[in-house]
Amino acid sequence: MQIVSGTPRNFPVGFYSKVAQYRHKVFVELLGWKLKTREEGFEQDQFDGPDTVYIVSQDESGSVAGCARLLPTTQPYLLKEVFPQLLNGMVPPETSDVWELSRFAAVNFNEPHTSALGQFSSKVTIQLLNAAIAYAAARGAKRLITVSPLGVERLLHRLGHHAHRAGPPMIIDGHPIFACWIEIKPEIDTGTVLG
Amino acid sequence: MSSLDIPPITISQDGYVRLMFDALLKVPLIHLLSGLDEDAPTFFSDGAIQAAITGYTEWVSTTTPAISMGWDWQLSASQGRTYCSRMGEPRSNIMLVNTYQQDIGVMKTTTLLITAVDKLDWQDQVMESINTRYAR
Repeated sequence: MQIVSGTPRNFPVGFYSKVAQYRHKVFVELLGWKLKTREEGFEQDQFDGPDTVYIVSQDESGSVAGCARLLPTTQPYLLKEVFPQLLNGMVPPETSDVWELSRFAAVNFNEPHTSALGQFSSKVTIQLLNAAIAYAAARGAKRLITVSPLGVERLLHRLGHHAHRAGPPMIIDGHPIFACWIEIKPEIDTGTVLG
Repeated sequence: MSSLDIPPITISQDGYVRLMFDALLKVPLIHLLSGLDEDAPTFFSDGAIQAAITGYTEWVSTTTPAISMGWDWQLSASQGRTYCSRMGEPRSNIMLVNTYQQDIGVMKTTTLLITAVDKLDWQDQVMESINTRYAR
């Protein structure tokens, strides 16, 4: 597995398209999320742009096996613009030390998996999550905020992260989701992800 | 219980709702949702097929801001009875404080939340919710 981190401006030609197609397979086709897609087979919303940060896992064949999106909260982000009600009345953060983690997926379509929730139990999940945290931490983040399905909180605890919900979960488009804080440990290794 | 009995609850910048344990015990929680784990394992024992039925449940207060707690549960059978028991530690937006309004920390908070959950009469509500949601 290889982790690629950066923005579309720095990606090889065609790489971002692979990520958008992968996201469509996971979020629209597999998980059934009702997302507006700009093109058939591509999952992309108003927070995807040339300067958006992506953390992408590729398997040995070069296929995308996982992805995550990072946005600093000093710019428009999903939780603030679309789901502020998940913050339990709190004003959405707008600070350089809080980044949003979204569109997190770790399904390898080249390997068999038992269910959509099986994506949360793999080695790729751990690598991808750690890479995302390290990338954001290297750029000043002390905390991440994420809008996620309920199972993510259990996963984060199991992986030893200090994570806690920002408020009660809500059913949105038939799926229970919630906002979750991930506190970044001060000793996180950021040395290998700059660039 | 009147609203005067419920202590004032505020939310901090870090997202935690802070209150003392005694105050938490006074806040009524209502059932929000429950569900089954899709990846529950099935195993064999002495030739019999046993399905480990596990799930999750979410409870919330009617206060503003809201207190939110969730935990996992498993269904077990003993002496002809089926019962639902908590599995693992609760998850919440709560940080408990001492009489000096200082955080008691994540670990101690979790230990006390376990006590709070185990005092709550939640099993019947969860079973009813599961039976309704997954009825064929």
